[in-house]
This record gives sequence, structure tokens and C-alpha cells, in this order.
Amino acid sequence: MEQEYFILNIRRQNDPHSSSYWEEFHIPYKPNMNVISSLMYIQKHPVNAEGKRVNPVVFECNCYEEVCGACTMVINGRPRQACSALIDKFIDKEGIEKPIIIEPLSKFPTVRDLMVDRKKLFDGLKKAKTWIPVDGSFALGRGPRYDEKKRAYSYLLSRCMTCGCCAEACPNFNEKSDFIGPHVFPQVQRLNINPLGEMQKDERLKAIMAHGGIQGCGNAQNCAKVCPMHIPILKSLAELNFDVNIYALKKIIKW
Amino acid sequence: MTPKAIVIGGGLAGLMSVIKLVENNIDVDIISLVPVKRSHSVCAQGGINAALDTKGEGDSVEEHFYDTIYGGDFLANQMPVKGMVEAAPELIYMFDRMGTPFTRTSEGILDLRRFGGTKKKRTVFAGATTGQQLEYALDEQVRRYEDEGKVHKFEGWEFLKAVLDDRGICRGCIAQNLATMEIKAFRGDALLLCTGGAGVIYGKSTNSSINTGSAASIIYQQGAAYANGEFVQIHPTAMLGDDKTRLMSESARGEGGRVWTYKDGKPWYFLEEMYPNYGNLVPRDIASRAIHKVCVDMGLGIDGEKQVYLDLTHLDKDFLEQRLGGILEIYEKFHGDDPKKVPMKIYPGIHYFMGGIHVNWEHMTCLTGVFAAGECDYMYHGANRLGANSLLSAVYSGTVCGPAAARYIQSLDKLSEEESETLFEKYLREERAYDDEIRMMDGDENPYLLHQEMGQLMTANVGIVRYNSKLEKTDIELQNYLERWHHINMIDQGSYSNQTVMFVKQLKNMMELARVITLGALRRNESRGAHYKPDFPDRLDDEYLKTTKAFKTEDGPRFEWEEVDTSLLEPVQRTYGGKK
Amino acid sequence: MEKKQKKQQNYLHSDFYIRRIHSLLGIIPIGIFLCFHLFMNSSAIIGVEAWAAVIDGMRSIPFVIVAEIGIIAIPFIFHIVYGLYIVYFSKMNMKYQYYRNWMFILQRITAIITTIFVIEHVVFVRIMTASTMDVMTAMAHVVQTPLGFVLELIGVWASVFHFSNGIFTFLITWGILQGERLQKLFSILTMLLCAGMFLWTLIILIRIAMMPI
Repeated sequence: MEQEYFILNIRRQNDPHSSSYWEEFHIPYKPNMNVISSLMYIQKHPVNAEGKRVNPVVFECNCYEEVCGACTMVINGRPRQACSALIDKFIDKEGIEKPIIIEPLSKFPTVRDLMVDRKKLFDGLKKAKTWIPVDGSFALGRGPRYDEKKRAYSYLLSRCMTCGCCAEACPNFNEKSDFIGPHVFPQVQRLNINPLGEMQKDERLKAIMAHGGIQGCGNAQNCAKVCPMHIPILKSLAELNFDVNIYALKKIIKW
Repeated sequence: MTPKAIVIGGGLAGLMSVIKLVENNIDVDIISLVPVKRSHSVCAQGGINAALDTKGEGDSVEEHFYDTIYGGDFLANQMPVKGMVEAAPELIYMFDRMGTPFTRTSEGILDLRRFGGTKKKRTVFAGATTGQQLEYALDEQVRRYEDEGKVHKFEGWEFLKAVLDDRGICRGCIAQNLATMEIKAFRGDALLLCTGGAGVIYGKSTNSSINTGSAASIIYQQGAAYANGEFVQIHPTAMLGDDKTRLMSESARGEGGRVWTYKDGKPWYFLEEMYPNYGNLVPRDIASRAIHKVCVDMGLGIDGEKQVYLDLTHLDKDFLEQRLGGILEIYEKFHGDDPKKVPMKIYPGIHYFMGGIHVNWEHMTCLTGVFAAGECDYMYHGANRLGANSLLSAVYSGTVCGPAAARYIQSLDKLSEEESETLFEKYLREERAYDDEIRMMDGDENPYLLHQEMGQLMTANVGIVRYNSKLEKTDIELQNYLERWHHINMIDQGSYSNQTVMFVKQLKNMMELARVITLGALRRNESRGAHYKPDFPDRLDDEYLKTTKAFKTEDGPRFEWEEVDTSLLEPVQRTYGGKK
Repeated sequence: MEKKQKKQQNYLHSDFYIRRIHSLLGIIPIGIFLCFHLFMNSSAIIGVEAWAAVIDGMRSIPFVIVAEIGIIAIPFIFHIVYGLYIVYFSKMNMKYQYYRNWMFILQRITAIITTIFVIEHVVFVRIMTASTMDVMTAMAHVVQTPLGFVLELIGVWASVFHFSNGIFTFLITWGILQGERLQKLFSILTMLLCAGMFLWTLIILIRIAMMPI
């Protein structure tokens, strides 16, 4: 008879200071489940595979629609959102007997179980000054006209939800290096091609040439492969490479 | 000494308030459950309404106003709504200047699409993730202020209580860190609640997991009034899932999607037949009831289940990709089928709370110094919200609430900094004791199962169709749940990042709010907007053209009626069948 | 305080320039030198005499030592030292079975192999030799043992791979390959170049191994 449950093998950790351990859970199979609904099942039935009562698994999630980025974790070796990780797909591919391996993101400090602290990602955005310094939120009339083709490109870049998949897969983003992470560059490029944002282009270029900036990219290109939003990270990176070089040359010439 | 405000919640309303406060030279602490960029505002898909009239249709602010009031079945106060629709175009321009990538026309100006409950193209949009794009624009602006030291973010903190001094004036709040579980007092001269809806009360909804309504419930329990709780919008097109019902944006219908099911073996486009003028673009409450009628009363759901088709397959694939790419992706991702080839299966799902914390037109609640804005207030949508008006009301309410809070702070004779430590100590002691109590709970109820039960009960009895007998039973059951809550078992023994402790606190608050919603529905013996009672199918203006106000008492909610401002537009019968 | 911070920030800008110089040096002059070096030594394919003549010619360039230090040694040392620093700060992850990730990892592995090989090559073939004959025997003696041949081949191939893949990353770093399809095309072209150079260097080494020295 076919097995009626599937197996989650979860890397758990009690708090930031303790070491991690593995725990297995058996989840009764239903069609159309995903990793989040499986973790919710554990909340309702906090019992591990050995039948022992355990603390429910702690995890982050919010929208369940892959637009907030909260539930990012490493599932079967790949960083992705747990809400869109459909159980049926794993079972179709690997069979129901094979455990689904779930780990927290490894590049960020673990808070507990699958919950990590991704503050570093937002700090990166701050360092790169990814905003348009508008005069204020009051009535200042219409915005600029904007070529729809350029706008469409900037929209693709703007769908980044700062989930951290790219940083997780990036070999240059780690505790040894100060690299700000791949997620910053599409945002910089998006603002640099905006008709208003263009005016502060140089400031942003300068910011990403600082220590830990764009030069830290080593072209492994994992970021683009794991990005759940398929953001053209590589294109924006290459465009920025061109721009920072021109900026640097200009600066040297005018020194 | 710099005056300081505390904003709870970092969605559109929260961030807009923050920006306005900073512009008025007030420093801000933001307390948010999640990094503000992950707030629920990002889930809004379709767009934001503003009468820009760039399609030569002669759209106007007046018409936007009329549609909003009419769509809300005249329950919204008209002056605030007027302010909102008048401000809408400038707010869109503001976002445009902040870099929001709104979809453009070939001339490079803002493109518009049509949404439900209107006959004009009035909805500005950024692909199919407008809410996300708006939220990100404000997030960037707030990050800039954070960089300048004017804003401090406390992300991963949960609001527990407002600190009110002996005169009942708000002096700050108590919040808890979700990682370390530390309970801390925050001093602030105004407290702004921008905490969104409460879909989680219904178990499965289109809302995010943080939308428990817990913060609104806390303020209600501390003495603020909760208004129009019974008006809960049910979105007609959602996909049923195991963990939640995922929204399928109204823009799918706005771009030409058709709703149908089989009748006598042939496709039956029942919305087009029932409402020939608006067709598939009738307002949400009407569409939801029609689908409910077709599936439950007539038994014509697809495969006999509670579902009908939302069909886009007759539209051009490139057009769909460009206009609706994001949301079609969601359907394919979570359902497996490609909506460009196969019609989507949908059913109505709990979506939006028109009701909320009662506020005056300056967005201050009954508690001095406590403000509310966004979905957690009750102001702009009356009995039913029109599509793409939610983003507008979230942002607009922030632009009212922020400056109002700033004016209030400037009028204070004493700042929170001068308040003695003892007041905060008292609140801290209480909250810490409550926290300890919850950690020690050793009954036999699993809180998550209890929540699931409550969700099912609420969805079944306080959803699309309401009967007094069932509402009465629901309230008794909810009181029973409140009793059972005391017998919860603390299933998590961890001392660090204990999500169950937080959930148990939220659950109690959800139950309190669920009673307000249920009893509010019970008292309103009419049908208006999203509130529909088959036993009272008509709108009864003489008796019920009033705002429901609930106050917390020892024996449950106490209700009052409040007059609705109808100074601009005489209420008329709301119908989408004949000519408007 | 603020001024100091700003100064520090300006100073920190330097690692951008250093990284760019590192990238540039990999092609100019090091890459060019590599090609030149291989072309010259291709004479070994023709025969012992031709090879000897070319080595003689190179050794007799006036003030060759100045060129060797200025154009070759200093850029090499800079490229190697900073390169090893880069390798140290990356956390390679074989878990990601993507083509470019493998290239990234190989680029760093070949960096280390090439460093060892170049030092060995310079010491034994350049520093410890006094005449053309010394150079030729030093080379021949290594490749004429099976182990020596394999090690030499690994060293040469590592350098050649590092160079070919380096062209690709150079073109991205300098913003020349911007489109994703263009990047893919050059990813293939540089690997074709690499394959060609593998074959070329293999023939050179086989010819040297077969020389009656």
C-alpha cells in the first residue's frame, strides 16, 4: 500500500546561541499542499516522526502568495519561498518516501528554527541610497513622462521583495566579506533610469563603489538562477558595471 | 526634547502617516510585526483609483465620489469621502514622483483600467502588483528618513497595549519583541494604529497571516469604539487553498474576464445575464452573492463543488501577459494550470474589512492621542468597498492622520518624556504577568485548532449570507470559545521566539473582535452592501442608515447607533441591474 | 567625527579601483603576455632549432630584465596577491549545480593552481637558468617524465582556463556584455577559445616531450 504521509526533515535550532539539530515529521498527504500548510499542520499537531510531543516549528510567513518574501527558506538545497513550494511537485519528482529537507537560510543569523534575521539585506538598500529624494509628499503636480519600454524594464526590477534568495546563493555574500548583496543592484539601476531618479545617479553610483560594493561581484550568477521573481539581475549588474566605470574614468580625468 | 509619535504597522497607511509626521518635524518609532516592506499592502494587485480622465471619457472627481458612496450603499460619511476622491490625483502624482513604475501609455503618461462598480476607466496600476509597488515607494522614502535618523524602526515587535495616563491620555505603548520576547515600554505623544484588516478571524481569507485584527481589538478592549464591524467584504474571485484563499484580482474581470458555469450543459454567463449594464464588473458584494446563489442555492457549481469559472482564455495571450502577468503567475504557481489556456476555478473569499476602529474626521479614536488609519479604521467605504479604492483610502487616511497627529502633539502641554516612570512600570508589570500566565497554560486545547474551529464557524455563519438564528448561535459559541481559551495548552516550551505565546494572545483578541462582528450583524436587520440577510432583503434607511458603534463592557459589546453624514448626496436605491 | 567618517569612506572607495585594476591587469598585460608567450613557444612544434632560435631571440632583447619586472613581474604579483585575497573572501558552494557557478569555482581553483605553477615555472625555467640550452633542458626534463608531463599540463591548462574565463568576467566587469543573450554567447565563445588553447598547448608540450634533449 502506498504511504499516506510525506516526510519533512527540518533543521531546527532553539535560539541564536545553541546548535542546530534535525527532526523528522510525518504529515498526512492531501492534494494541493505546500510547505507552509505542512508547517501549519505541525502547529496543530506538534508531534515528530517518533510520536514524541515537541515544540511546534517556528517559521516566518505572511502573504502565502510569494509577494512578501517572508517565508524564504532552503528547501531541498535551494533557497525559495515555502508558500509556493508545492508538496505534489516534490512527490511527483522524488516519490512520497523521500523526505523533503527544510533548512533556514544559512547566510543570516538564525533566530529560531526556520526563522532568520535578514536585517543585513535592508541595510544594503540603505547603504546604496535606493530612493528618490523627493521634495515632499505634498502636491507638486504631475510626475515626469516616462517611456513605457523603460518603465516596463524598471517594473521587472521593482518586483524584488528582498527575500534573500540571491544573497543566500551568492558565494561572495557571507560573514567574512562585506559585500552588500546582489539584491541592491537592480534597485539602484531602477532608480537610475527613472526620469527623476536619474538626477541622483552619481550619488548612487558612488555608494555602490564604496567598500563592499559592486566590485564584490564575482560573476557566479547564482543570484539570477535562484531569484523567484526572475529579476534581470545580471543585466542590471552589467549596466551598472559600465556606468561605474565611466563614472570612475570621468572622476580620474577631472581629478 | 523632541516630540515623538509611535506608528503601529508599516503598510501604506502607516508609512504615509510616518512621512507626514516627519514632514511636520515629529520623530517616529515604527513598530511592526514584520519588516515593513513585507506588510500586507503588498498583496493588493489591481490598482488605485483616481479620476484622472485621460481616456476622453469625461470622468470626474464628482463621479468618483458618487460611485464610492453609491457602491458603499450610502453608509460612508460623505465629507471624508469627498476629501479622499479630491486628493486622489495628487496622491497618484506623488507616487509617480517617488518612482512607482505605473504602467504607461505610448505617450508616456499614466495608463488607466476599468474596475468594478464604475463605468469609466479610473484605475492607475503598476502591472498586477500595484500595492507592492506603492508600498515599496513609501518604504524607500521612510528608509531615507531612517538614514537621516528621523525614524526608528522596530521590526519584529508586536503591539500589546496603549499606555493611558490617569486622565486617559495616551503616553506611549507596550510592545513585545518576537525574537527575544522582551516586553518594553515605548514613550510617544501620539499612537497611530495602522494595523490593517482582520481576515485571520475567519481562518482562511485573502489576508496575510499578520492580519489578525489583534491591535484593533486591543484598542477596542481599552475603550475605543469599533464601528461597522459587520461589514466584511467578500471578494468574488479567490482560489480556495489549504492554507488560505488566494486573491484573483478584480482586474482579471476589468481586462475582460468572464464568469460562468454550466447550465443545461451549456456555459452560462450568469453575471452578464443578471446585470446586463455592468456585466462581469458589478461590485464585489453583488458578484459574490450571485456566485453563492449559483453554487449553493441552484447547485450549479463546477463539478458540484463550490466553484465557478473565471475565464480569460478568449483574450490575446500577449495582452494578458502584459496586463495581468503577475496574478496569472500566482494562479499557475499555486494551482498548476495556465489561466491563459484553462479557465480559472474561483469562489468568493473573505477579503476586506470596511468596518474598523471608530475615528473622528481627524482620525482620532475615542481615546485621546490614539489615532487609526488604513483598513483598521472604518471611514471611507461604507457598507461595501469598490475595487482599487482600498489603496487610495489607505494612503489618503495616512495623509489625514499624520498631520492631525502632529497638530495634536503640538497642542499638548506635556510631552511623554516628562511622564513619570511609574505609569509605564505599571503597564509593564501587567503585561509581563499576562505573558507569564500564558506561558503556564496547561489545559488541553491546541490554540491553532481552536482558531481553525472559530474560522470555520465565522465563515459559515457570518459570511456572504446571514441569518439571525445562526448569528445568535455563533455568538454563544464565541463566548464558549473565550471560555475554552483559558484551557489552552502551551504547546511551545521555548523561551526564545515563542510564536505560540504570541498567537494565544492574538487569538483572545480575535475572539473579542469576532463577537463585535457577529453581534453587529445580528443587530442590523436589513441588507446593505456586503451585509446580506435573506430574511431582510431590503435596505432600511429609516432605521439603519447609521454607523454601528461597539464598546467593550464586562458582559460583551455594548452597541450604539451614530448618524451618517449624507450632506452631499441623497441616498437612493442601489441597483446595478437597470440604468444608473 | 563626521569628517573623519567621510575620509574613511573616501579611503574605502579604493577597493573599487584596486579590484578594477586587478581585472584590467589580468588581460593587459598578463593575458597578452600569455598569448605572446605561447606564440613564441609554438616554435617548439616546428623543431628544436626553431625553438632554440626563438628563445635566443627573446633572451637577447636589450634590457629584457626591465621589461620582465615592469611589464610582467609587478602586474603578476599584484594580480596574484589581490586575487588570493578575493578567493579567501568568497564562500564557494558546490550545492548550486549551475554552469556559471561551476565556472566561478573553477576560476578560483585554477587561480591557486596557476599561482603555484607560475612560481615553479619562473623559478626553474627563468631564474635558475643561464643559457638557452638550460631553458630547453629544464622544460624538457620536466615533461619527459609522465608525472612531470601531467603536472605541467595541469598547470598550463589551469592558466589557459583562467585566462579564457577571465576574458568573460572581464567583459562583464567592464560593462561590455550587458544583454543576457550576449553574455551567454560570450560564455560559449570564451570556452571555445579555451578548448582551442587546450589543444594548442597540448601539442606544444607533446612536441617538447618528444624532443631529443
